[in-house]
Amino acid sequence: MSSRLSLLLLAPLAAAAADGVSFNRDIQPILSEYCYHCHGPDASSRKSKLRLDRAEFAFQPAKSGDVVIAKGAADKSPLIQRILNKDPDEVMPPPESHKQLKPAEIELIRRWVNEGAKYEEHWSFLPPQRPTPPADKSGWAKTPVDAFVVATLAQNGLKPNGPEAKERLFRRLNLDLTGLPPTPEELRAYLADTSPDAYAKAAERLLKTDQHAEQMARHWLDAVRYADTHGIHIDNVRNIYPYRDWVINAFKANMPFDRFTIEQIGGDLLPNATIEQLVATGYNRCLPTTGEGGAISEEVMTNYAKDQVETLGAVWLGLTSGCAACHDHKFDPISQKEFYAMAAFFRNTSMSALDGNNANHPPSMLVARPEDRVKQAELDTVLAALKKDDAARKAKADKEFATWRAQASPSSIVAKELPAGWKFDAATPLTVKTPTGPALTAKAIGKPAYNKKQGGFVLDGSSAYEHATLGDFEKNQAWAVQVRLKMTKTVNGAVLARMDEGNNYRGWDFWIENGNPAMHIIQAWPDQALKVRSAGVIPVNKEVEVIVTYDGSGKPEGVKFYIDGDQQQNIVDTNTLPANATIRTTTPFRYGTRSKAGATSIVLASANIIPALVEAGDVATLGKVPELRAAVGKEGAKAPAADVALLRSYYDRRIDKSDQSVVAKIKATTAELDAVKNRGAMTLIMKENATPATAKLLIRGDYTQPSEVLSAGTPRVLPALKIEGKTANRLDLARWLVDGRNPMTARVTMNRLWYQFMGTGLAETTENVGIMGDKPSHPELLDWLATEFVAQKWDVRAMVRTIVLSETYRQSGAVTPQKLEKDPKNRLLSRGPRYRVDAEIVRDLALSTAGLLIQKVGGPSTRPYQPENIWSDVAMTGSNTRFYTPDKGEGLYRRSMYTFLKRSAPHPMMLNFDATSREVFCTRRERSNSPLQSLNLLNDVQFVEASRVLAEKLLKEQTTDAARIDQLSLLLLSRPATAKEQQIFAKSLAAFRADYAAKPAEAAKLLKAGDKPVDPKLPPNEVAAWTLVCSQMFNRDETLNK
Amino acid sequence: MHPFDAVEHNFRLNRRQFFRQNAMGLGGIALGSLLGKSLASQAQAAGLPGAQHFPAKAKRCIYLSMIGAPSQFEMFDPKPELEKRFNEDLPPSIRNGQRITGMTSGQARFPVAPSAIGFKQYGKGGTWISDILPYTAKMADDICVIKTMNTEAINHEPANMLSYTGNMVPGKASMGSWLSYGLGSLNEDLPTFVVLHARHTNPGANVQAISARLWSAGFLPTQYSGVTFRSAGDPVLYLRDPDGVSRETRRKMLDGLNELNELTYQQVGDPETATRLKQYEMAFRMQASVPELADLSKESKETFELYGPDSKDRGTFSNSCLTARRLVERGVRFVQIFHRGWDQHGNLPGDIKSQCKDIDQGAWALIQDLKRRGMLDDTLVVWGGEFGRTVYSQGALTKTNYGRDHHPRNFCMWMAGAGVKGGMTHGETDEFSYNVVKDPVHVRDLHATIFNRFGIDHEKLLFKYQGLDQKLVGVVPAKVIKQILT
Repeated sequence: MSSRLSLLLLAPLAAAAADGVSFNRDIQPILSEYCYHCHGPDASSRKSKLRLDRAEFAFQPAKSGDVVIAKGAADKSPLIQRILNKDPDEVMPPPESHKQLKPAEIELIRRWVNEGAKYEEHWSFLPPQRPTPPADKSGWAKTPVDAFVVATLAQNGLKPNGPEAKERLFRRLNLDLTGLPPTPEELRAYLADTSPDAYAKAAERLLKTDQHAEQMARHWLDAVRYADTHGIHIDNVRNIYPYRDWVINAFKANMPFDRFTIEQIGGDLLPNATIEQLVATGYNRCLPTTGEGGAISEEVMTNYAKDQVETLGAVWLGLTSGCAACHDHKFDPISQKEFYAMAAFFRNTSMSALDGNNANHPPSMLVARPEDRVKQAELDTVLAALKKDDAARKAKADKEFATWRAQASPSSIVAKELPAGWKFDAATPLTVKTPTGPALTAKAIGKPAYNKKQGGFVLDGSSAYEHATLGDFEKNQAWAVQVRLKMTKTVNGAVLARMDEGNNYRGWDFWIENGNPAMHIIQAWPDQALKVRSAGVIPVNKEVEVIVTYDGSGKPEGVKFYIDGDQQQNIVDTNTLPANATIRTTTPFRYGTRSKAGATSIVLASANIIPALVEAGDVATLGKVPELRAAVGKEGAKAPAADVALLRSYYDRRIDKSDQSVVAKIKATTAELDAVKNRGAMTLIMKENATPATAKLLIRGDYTQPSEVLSAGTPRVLPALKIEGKTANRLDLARWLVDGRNPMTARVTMNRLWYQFMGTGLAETTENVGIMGDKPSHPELLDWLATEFVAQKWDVRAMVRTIVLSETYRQSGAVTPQKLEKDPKNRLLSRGPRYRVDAEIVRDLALSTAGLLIQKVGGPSTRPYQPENIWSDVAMTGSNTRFYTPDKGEGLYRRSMYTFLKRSAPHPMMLNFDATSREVFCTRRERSNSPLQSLNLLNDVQFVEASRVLAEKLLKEQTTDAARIDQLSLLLLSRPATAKEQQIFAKSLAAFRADYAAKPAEAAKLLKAGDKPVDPKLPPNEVAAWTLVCSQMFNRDETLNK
Repeated sequence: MHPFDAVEHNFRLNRRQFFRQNAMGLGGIALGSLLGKSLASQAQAAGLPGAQHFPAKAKRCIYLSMIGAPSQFEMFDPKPELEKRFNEDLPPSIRNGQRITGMTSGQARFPVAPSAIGFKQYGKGGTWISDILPYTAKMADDICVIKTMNTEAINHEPANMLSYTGNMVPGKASMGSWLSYGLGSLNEDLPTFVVLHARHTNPGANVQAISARLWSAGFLPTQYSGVTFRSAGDPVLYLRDPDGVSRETRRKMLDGLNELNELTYQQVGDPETATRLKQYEMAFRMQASVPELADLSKESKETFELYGPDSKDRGTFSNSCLTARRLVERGVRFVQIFHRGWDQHGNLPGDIKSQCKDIDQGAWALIQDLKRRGMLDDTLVVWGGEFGRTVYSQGALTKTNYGRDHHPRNFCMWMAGAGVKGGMTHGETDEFSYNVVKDPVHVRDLHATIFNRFGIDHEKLLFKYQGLDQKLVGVVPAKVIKQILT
């Protein structure tokens, strides 16, 4: 609604009378509203070949042959004649458009034509010109920002407010820079500093804090739609928090905005990209994606590319570029071709359309902890050298291999014994051989029996042999099972297991699913579990040897399946096992079932449970002895290549001793590297395909109607793209955004920064400064900020400093009736910014003042208290974010920016206070004021607990009621309570005390809120009464406003 | 210029001025918004006509959303002649190269699966209804079955978004939000748009995800979002005072808070402070009005008999229908009940029986209850899912068991009340229920028709976002289904 609002507000039509008609100010809003739909940039809907949005077209003859505007002669201009025509077939705009020009608007167009019909380029497409700050005779202005502001105020007959009270300003500064209120100690120190630059020093200190980096990052994460789930359909976990850490670190280091842009959009394309630069490209992976079965890739990719272009458009360009997906843009000079040229930048990736509901949807990478990164690089180097040695050694060994092969006899080929294990033979089922000690005696459950004809124990689904100590493995241990069995029909069920079905399936099993061997390794099914399946099936009615090995990594690739020695492809069904999981259970191990049920139609001949790492090479040669023996017999060069390769693998592994030592070193180094990686985290990144970036133009945006192929490129209305390589790529795009010639990026970024501190952008529509966007309230100030930003080499912190040190920012937030009338939304900046803080700050305020806040920076997302069923009401059965389990301890009290964000069901407190679901970009939030917020603050356990913990603190730290109320006020409002407030609180306190004295059991109930135990030494009635006083303070308007 | 256009045009301009006035004045806007005093009533307060473009037939709507896509073959679109074609391949001339989801595109064959469930005709209009919907059959003359619904989306997530927000990608405003924004509320202490989640009883049902994006306000102001009335815990989030805080204590606490906020208002003069003060009072009232609403104990024995034994069990579909009636009775404008578990790719005959049993009596009882209270005349009830299912079986086919894949080209819905013709069946499909033969109804046409019942021209309820006049129906033309309206 804003373009018109600000037009009414800031550029009243009367202005035209004084200054002459301006195209940008007066005419374009009218033409765009009434005419551009048919006579604007969109070629497909253009009527009569008439285009009115730009001078180069407006004076061309239309289809009729007429030039519709006669400069200086409105009455002779067909444009005016058609507007004034009474004939419904002739009048413009036509009746079916439901639009009619107002007399004042027609008058403006007449005057514009009479004054020569001068066109102007849209303001935001013109490079910002460095304006000179106007002189301020009043002496109020201390900075260039103020000079522009006070001049505009004077034009509107207003004066700035006086300075905000020192305490309140300090609180505002803290909340804006760090998202947290100052502590009473910080406040005292600040008030005690009487030097003239006390405020500037305070700002400087805050700008360097981690909390400031977090606060800046939080705003950025809104813009780029960061979330912890992939979003569409099953909405599983997505691993991408290292990107969030990167953003925080970038702000902490005050990374210049040009580099910040380049590394996020095109970091992977930088020469010798570092780990950090790759992590930064997570920007390109923040979009919601789908893994819905049956979704059609081309359709999905089309949607993704549109989302990427829209986000880039909103965040850097301030243009609604997505509007050009189906047709040329209706208002801005962006053609449909240009849209697809932009889309091309984002389509040239190895990222698949369907994400497989996979947390690590490739391209993704393991990121070591920062302190491990040097070590990781060293290990990578060592490993590469070892692999080179291995290869070199193998090449040299060719001759020796030939010699060995010539001498070797079939009988010299022997299988390598696998490491010793617990051996079970169905013919003697109650005696299980152990790797070391004496044999174990198993116990029969149900009626298990050896079937001589079948050659094994025939599983019936419930009978089993059981032993308590066998197979008691932990998740980080390596083990293997070697089973001889026959499947008489295709079945599902467990064959061997140590698994407690009654405790979320804790444990592990060897399982058959529709004939495919599988293994479960489970802490709690399905949210903390690993399930991997072999793609190959067990043949029916044939005895086979199945070997499953597990390396203790907790990862799907750590499980391998072999059927008669042949390694099988893995299918990963569930991959949610946490790094610190435990799978140990007291449930006994069973041959034949889990704790309750097992498979049927399986004839189990023998089983060997090996408590050690079994390697692929060992298994491969183990099952291949007959083939190897046959191969040895084949003569020299005539032997088939496959046989030679088999022999060579046997030779390398079993005969060549020097090779073995290199292999052992490779193994050790790999294990060390894995340990480093396991301490780190997976994160999604971007990778470019080697092909040139192109996209097909889709007719009407329909993926089933592709037409011409377009190369990646940028809109012509903006400066030309520089291409470094042969064809344009994301890196070129990123550099183009910040090369200083692009008129949009600096303006859009400064406009958003202004919104962040002042509550409204200078142009209110921070995502759109195109033709239909809001016009800036202070165009010169915006241009000054934009040029200053570039002159300061994109130094974000410098610009934050510029804003917070201005007198404009430091004004009092008080509102007078006159200012409400003349400047209702504070667009003229006639007062300081005072408005309700964002959702995250509301919660962080409560936690920090109660002393509950854990100020740890970065890391995985946390799960604070959340009402029941928020997730399960909407989630799919198979989603790994179906059930919400709140954290214990620290995770309950981290800053809100780390709260796990499930896109299809974000935390309800965050939504109540206008945080978004991060499904699309958000460059400005609403600020609503609703009874649901009141209920939330009054009754949500996190606020009740914070009130109670704060009450305890006040009771312990202060001795009188008045001192407690003062301290409470200092904590939340950064000022002591007034006498009147003391009275109000005292009255409330007395009432609460009386209520709890009458009903002490009620007090005890109130104190139970939250996980944090109450101090038993404090009198419960007092804690309860003070809990409500603290809650009153948390709910105050002054507390909730910055 | 059409007179309504002038109204709309002036209205849009004046609304902005009104917002400004309100922001300066009492701060009543936010209060009014949650109460639903939006476009229309604000307009009235400002001496302007409401958002309605012509006289409304409906004051309120209850939308029964069947998530997962109920099969038309086993409910409302009988094709008995398919019996003869059991296990025959679907003729390519019928499929006509239509796209197929990734779930069955790999199938070697597309064998025809006749319905395992029989049909009969009911009512004066002879509406065909299957044997697993005995209660629905009893209300054949109350409902209009549309057999030719169609959509572009072939997968649940985009199809649901299209059905409920008019667009296949996230970020748009939901239908209920549009109506709240356009029409405002009929009550003083409940939200305008309420969402209920009804449970399905079959534990083996194939359940699809839904999310707040189906009832969110999208680009409209957030206060027009649907408010979920929950079936577990507090009906409205954070409604209940914490244990150990009595109503009397809460009152005293709020009295003190109000005094503090009044001080702030006097000092700073920000109208938002006054609004906040009022919101706390509204919250206090909701703490009484919402439990009253959720408390069914005053409903008569007869009413419980009407809705069936499940209706006393919180969170069942019947219980949700009864709650919906109580909501609309108290002036809630739009109630949406989501029932999941309709995605039967396999084991369809068994699973659909259970799903139908879940919803059959409740839906019927709702219509009867509204009728006997004289509310069906101005309450629109809509039943349906996001698309239909294929004639061919997904997976193994026997006479009694089969599955069906997604089918966007035709599916069934029904509507009742608010001047929708009862006892009528609209549209015809081909002998395979694979293509529409007569009277197609796109999802957008349904949207236009629902808006029409509320006196809204779907082309004229607009909201400027990203420089464009956004509409529920988007830019593609939509038409009101006039044939089914009295």
